[in-house]
Amino acid sequence: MNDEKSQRRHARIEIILKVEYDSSEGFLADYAKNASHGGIFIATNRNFAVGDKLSFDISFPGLLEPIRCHGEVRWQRPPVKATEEKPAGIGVAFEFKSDEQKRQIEELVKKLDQEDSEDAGQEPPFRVLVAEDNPLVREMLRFGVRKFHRTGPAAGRELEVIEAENGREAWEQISGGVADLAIIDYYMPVMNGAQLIRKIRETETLQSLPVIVVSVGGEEARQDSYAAGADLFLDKPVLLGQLFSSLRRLLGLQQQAGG
Amino acid sequence: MPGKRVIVVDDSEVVLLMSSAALQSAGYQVKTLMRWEELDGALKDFRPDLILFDVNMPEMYGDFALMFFKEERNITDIPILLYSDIDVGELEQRAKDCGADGFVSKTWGVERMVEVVGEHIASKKEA
Repeated sequence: MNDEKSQRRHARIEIILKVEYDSSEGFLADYAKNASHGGIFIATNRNFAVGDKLSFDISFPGLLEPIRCHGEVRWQRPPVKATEEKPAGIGVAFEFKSDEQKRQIEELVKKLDQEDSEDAGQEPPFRVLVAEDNPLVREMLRFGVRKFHRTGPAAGRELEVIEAENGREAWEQISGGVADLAIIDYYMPVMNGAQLIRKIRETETLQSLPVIVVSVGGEEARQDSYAAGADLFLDKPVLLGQLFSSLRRLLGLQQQAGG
Repeated sequence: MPGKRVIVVDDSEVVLLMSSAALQSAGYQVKTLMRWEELDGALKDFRPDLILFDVNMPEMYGDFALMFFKEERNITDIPILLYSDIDVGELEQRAKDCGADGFVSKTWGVERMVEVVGEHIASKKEA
């Protein structure tokens, strides 16, 4: 496993897998990517809702028996938001019905990991959540992340910035367990930063997600953020150099912990 | 410099009042803004010849915002100066680090600010 992957709690493997649902529609052209021990991304134009329960089989060339899977839809990228690089689809968190099922998935991910390494396959994107309700500040943070990424520890990977204007929207986008870093504003409507972090830490696949909180809230926001499980807290106004050093520190620590 | 346009971004109403009064006395047209969010619209509608950025602004420091606006809004032909009362040495370094076209210390007084603004606009005209 290389350094970038070792930053993740569960290495995510990008490979095309066939997906067949338990539905009357028979075989579908949907496919899956980014499998990890925690979940899978299924590219699909079908209309799913967050919270939908799915039962499906996944298979790929060389695998004799399809693997039976169950899971819950944690986030969705609808066709209107899809691009060529980022197809429409859903993030599904696995729900294991038995130890045997869990073992099968672990074996599959291990096998795919080996093939991925042998084949020097494409690295998964470095996914950063930026949750901030002020659109211009969100854009500034995204700018900072992009600048950092050019020379950061994951510079070799494509950067994907996931933007959300409140905690609930952020949760819908990352609850499938596919993120490498989160920058979260403390004061947001609908669900604030601390509530979002609590949900993140309650989710097995996101427990080790590096989280930085930014806020004008001072000491109270700082304490609440750390109590919820934030790794770092930055006071607003934010200094670009301070953001960079915090990201370096956090990702450096992650790398050391993982490797 | 009659007719030239200057935007001053600062969260202090007092600084905005004093700065705009001094610039207007020297013949400048002035637009004052208290938030970064107002700058996009002002760039389009007011078309400034120079912009002053306060450093200690809410949400994002002026030097972070300066890099952002220069790169993301592709501002290459409008000088942007950092404008602050922090230590002059620190201000000079921060202006250099963020790629500002210059800096003005508030401790120099508004008369000197007007002179520096004039020097930058004149040098841009010559270029």
